[in-house]
Amino acid sequence: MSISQGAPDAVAPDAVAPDAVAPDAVAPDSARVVGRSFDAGAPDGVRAFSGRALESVTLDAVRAGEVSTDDLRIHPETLEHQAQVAADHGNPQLAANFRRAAELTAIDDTDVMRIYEALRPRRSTFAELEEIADWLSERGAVINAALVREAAQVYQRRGLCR
Amino acid sequence: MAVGRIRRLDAQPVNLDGFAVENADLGLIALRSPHDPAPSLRIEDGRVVELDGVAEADFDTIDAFIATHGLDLSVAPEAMALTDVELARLLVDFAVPRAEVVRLVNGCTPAKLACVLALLRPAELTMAMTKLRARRTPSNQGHVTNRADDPLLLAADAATAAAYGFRELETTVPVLADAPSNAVAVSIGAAVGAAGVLVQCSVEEALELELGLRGFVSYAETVSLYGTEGVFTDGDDTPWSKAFLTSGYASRGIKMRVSSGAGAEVLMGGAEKRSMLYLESRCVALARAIGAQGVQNGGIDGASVAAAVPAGVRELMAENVMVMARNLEACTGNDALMSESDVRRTSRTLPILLAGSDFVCSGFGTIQRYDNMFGPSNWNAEDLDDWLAMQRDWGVDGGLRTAPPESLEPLRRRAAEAVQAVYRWFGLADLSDESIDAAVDAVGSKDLVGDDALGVLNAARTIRESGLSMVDVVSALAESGFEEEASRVLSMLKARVVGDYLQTAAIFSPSMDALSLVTDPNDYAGPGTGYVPSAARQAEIDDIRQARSVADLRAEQASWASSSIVSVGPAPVGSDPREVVVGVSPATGREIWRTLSGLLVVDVLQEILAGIEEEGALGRVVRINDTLDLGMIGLSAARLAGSGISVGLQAKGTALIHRRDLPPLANLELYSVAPVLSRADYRLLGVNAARHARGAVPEPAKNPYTDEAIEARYHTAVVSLIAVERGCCSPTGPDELKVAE
Repeated sequence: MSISQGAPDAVAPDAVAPDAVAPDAVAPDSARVVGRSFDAGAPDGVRAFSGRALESVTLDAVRAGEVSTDDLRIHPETLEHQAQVAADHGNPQLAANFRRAAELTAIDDTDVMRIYEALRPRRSTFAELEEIADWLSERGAVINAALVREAAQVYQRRGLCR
Repeated sequence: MAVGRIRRLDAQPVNLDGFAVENADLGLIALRSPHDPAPSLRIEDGRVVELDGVAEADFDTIDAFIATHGLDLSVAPEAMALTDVELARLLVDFAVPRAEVVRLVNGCTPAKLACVLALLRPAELTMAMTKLRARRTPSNQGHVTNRADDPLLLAADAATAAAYGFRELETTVPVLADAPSNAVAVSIGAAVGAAGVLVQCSVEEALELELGLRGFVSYAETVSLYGTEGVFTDGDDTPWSKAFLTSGYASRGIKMRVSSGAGAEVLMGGAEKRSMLYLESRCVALARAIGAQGVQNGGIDGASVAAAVPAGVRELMAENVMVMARNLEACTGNDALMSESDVRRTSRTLPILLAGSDFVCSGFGTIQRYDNMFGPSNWNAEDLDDWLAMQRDWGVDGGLRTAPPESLEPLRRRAAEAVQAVYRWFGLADLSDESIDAAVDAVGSKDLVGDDALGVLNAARTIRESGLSMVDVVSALAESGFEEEASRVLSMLKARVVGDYLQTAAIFSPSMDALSLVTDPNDYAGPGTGYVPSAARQAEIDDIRQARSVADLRAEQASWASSSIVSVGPAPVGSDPREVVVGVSPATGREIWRTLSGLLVVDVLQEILAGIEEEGALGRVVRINDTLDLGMIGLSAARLAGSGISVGLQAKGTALIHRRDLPPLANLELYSVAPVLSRADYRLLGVNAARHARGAVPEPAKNPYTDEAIEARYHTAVVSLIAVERGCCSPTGPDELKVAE
């Protein structure tokens, strides 16, 4: 059980992407998506959340205990790339989802689950939802913050605040 | 008391089903409730201020989310101005590109799209589905569960399902805390069966997310949406919590679709007098609005409620087409068993199988009905051969293939052994070799050796509490001699980093190509276009394990060959008035030795001869070599008989009594249904032939009663046996045969 859980502590609030990764090394053009296989090795240029090149994540590396959870997590810039592909294929809402997701890559598993729980009906007061929105904003998750603020407004009107 | 005809109908399985009188007040109405709102959309300053008759200030949470996020307001005025019929025709017309339909539907309100779909008749729905589904290549999804949550059986069954071609496997639990163990066991089993199989474990939302984050599953589906605010809230979510959850999955690179479908609101008493199709239209619009890539709908748990009302099954399919028109992945129901009637459940699924869908079933029960912890599916393990036959009959791809029977024992054993090794590696459980033997051979969990419920629970708790992740499982597999499987599981984890399978309708090919709306778009544009199975795939569809060739049947007949029927020279014309001749077909005693009813031809001949003798006549046997026509065989034999009476027998068992002065196609008595004839029937035919020879008028022998599909069962054999007979025909005179006593 050599695996560390959760996102790295080092992720800065305003830097969604781990800073070790150069943007152009990660965001591939959309042409590469079509009909390709990555079984024999990762497609060129795809990096994990940790910044590690995916082709270096091999079975031997796993056996040597040299693969962390973050080596198998998606990078926010890859999600931005997928958002562009979704938008190009007639689904701006799917693109918006991927952009919210890109922000959430920097949020711990436990915080993702905590915020999800807080958004369920009658779990949170209006003020608590506003606090969550602020917390998300501070971590660069501004689209998600807006979503939570919007929820707070509607919940208040529809009696879904605690 | 009802007459016999009705008493007989009452006993049919269809009459175990419940049928409801349409009742809009209860929401028991499929397509158009008088209480459904008229479609409307008012936009002011780029903002929706009225949606389907509701003013902005009165929007409930569902209206509010759709109004804010779900509609393309730049196309809405154009789309809403089209009449329902105009839009309905665009959905069906193959000359209108899918992209154009998708563009316009983006501007349709839920009520508008419900009105449009309610216009489509079944054949039009089939056409629309053919054209509108997202992915070009159809696929299928299966359930893998068992009542004991036995990890060995889960793994063996997951491997089996993967071998049958399922590209997504869904498990769940009777005991919630067992979920981590089930997820691990099914993921390992799937990897043994094939590469690239997606796996999910359907449990409560928060636990399901946790399983995804830990890597134990590769997609999520049990993210339920409902069509009324009250039911949605009772389901302990809101559109915003679901939207956030959707992004939570995507943030970890995990595929996700939502789940909805007719009947859920009715069952929860909250349909608000709306039709099922309108409520589902709200769900589908919301699914699009929150950014889900796909929807599992078409009834699902409420399918039997929809099926209880008029046009309910049509409504289920309309839901699916609605998903496709909103440019989302469709996992098209055919999930919960909606009828006790084989006819009705087939009728419910067939148009979708013919049209093709991203996942034809959103849960084909790949295990025994009693082991399906979702409840029995509309299609279950015992129906696998039926499904394969239906694919073959129509020449369509329903996503499955034949798993060669001889391959399943080693496959299931490897899956069970892989789980045993991983559970031992982490000290989760010490699963015995005896348990493996039982799981490998088991039809279902009733065949296991004992039910170690606490052991499973303990393993699941350890997985959850120890911080174990799927990377650790990869390592354990590799260290235990399951390198290929470890590599497959690792590939699924790496797929999350690439993210291509987050796109609409993505599955993996066995070579790990992501097939989706993006990489494998449906390009159907009328006859001659769209998905056609490759030659290799068509061969999989065609070559079911039951198919037999002439060579197969010839070999089977040869295994019954003996020296019991031999030729002793040319057959003379007889003169004894007591003589009855038994004329047999050209292949008799050469290539055909057994009749369709399973009797040896020699035994049949002995019965006929015994019957002839019993009545004091004399019998002899000749082989007619120049015709395989039974009438001509009988007539030729009658002309050789001193009495002028013969019995004609084809080696496959068809028989008649003939007389020398009748036309060839006439006869005195006929057994036309060879597969149901017994020794006694043939003896009676001999008896009657002798009575005819004496000038008596016996009561004619008749085919025994049968209501079986005799022709279906034997026609392929008949065609082959007739071909063999034809090969034995020659323009030579009859042979006298000696038949062993």
